[in-house]
Amino acid sequence: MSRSFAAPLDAVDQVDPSADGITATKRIVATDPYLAGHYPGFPIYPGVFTVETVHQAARRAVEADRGPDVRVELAAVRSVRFKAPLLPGDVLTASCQLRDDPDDPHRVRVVADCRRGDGAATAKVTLELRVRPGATDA
Amino acid sequence: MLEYADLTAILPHRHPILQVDRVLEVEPGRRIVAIKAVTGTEPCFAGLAEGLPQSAYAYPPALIVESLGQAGAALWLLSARATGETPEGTLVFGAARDFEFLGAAYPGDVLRHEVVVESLKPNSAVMRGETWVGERRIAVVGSMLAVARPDTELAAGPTG
Amino acid sequence: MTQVMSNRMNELREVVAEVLEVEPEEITETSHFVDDHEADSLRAIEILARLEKMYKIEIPQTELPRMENLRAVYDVVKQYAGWQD
Repeated sequence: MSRSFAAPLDAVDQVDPSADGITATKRIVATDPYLAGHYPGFPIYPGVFTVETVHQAARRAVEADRGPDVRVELAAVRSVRFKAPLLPGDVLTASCQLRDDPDDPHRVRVVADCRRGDGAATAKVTLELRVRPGATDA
Repeated sequence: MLEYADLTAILPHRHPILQVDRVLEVEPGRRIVAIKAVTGTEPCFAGLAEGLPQSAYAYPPALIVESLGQAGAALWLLSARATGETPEGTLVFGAARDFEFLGAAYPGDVLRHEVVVESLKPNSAVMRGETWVGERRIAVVGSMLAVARPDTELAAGPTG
Repeated sequence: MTQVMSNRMNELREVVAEVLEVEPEEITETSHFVDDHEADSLRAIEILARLEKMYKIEIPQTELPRMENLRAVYDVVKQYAGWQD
């Protein structure tokens, strides 16, 4: 499937609804784009790609929720903390809580708890998405 | 000034995720100015649908973060080299706060990162920074924390 | 506790709470950052860096293990900032 926006990789395999948001999964594969250089002979899923996984999953959920006439972008990474690495074969599960900003109808706050298949926490990510009316620039 | 070959001698990142092209200025222990040219042939622009608006070609924020972070890592390593206190182990991106995306960069733009040291310790560095395209500030980060982990702990420690 | 001391303690509490992403009231002088507030080594480094900037002091990283609660943070800052109380 072709993408609708530039991205370092397809950072999400699957998105499922959860009680307060969504759950996204991504299997780390050594042949994922960019991993050949991160690092040669020792591929590790870059920390910023975990941020990308949460971003793409939340973006998809907000677009599905608000309809095709909005444009969703990453406005801020409020906080991110990396706790353990993700290596090829690991499955990243990002449990994302989505909340509309009470002060700004054009912002959605996303808090994600990211874990590996073995249950170890890999990252905690808090993002803010900007929701603009109009899917195109026109 | 440090060129691409110099950067490969400092940073462990390689093509296509070596996200810094050149260091324009560096004051070890204080600040760095580094650039990265954005081009439409980068992997992140592959596979986009036909007929998309220009906004679809905005450079991915995750790669701006990575690029700015690598400029910070270069600053730390050059600072350590200047004092002879090389961090032990592998540098990893530990945490960041208040990364705000204020504008976009497109193919043809040059990202200019300015990173300033907040705190430098033998095994950790806290920095803040900004990314500019010409006279437009497109990103700002309140704090980025990098730590050095012993190589033996890398499989269990935080990573970037 | 003197007024100066109490003000400083509250100032430190604000810094720690912001880094640990908890409400200031949750942090007592002896509540343990790691055991009670889910802190880790990264958070400890962040706290240290903010204190250095705020008080324009330099704290060696060897003090990190000691800074396990608010009381200990106060003592470390007091030492490096040269506070009398």
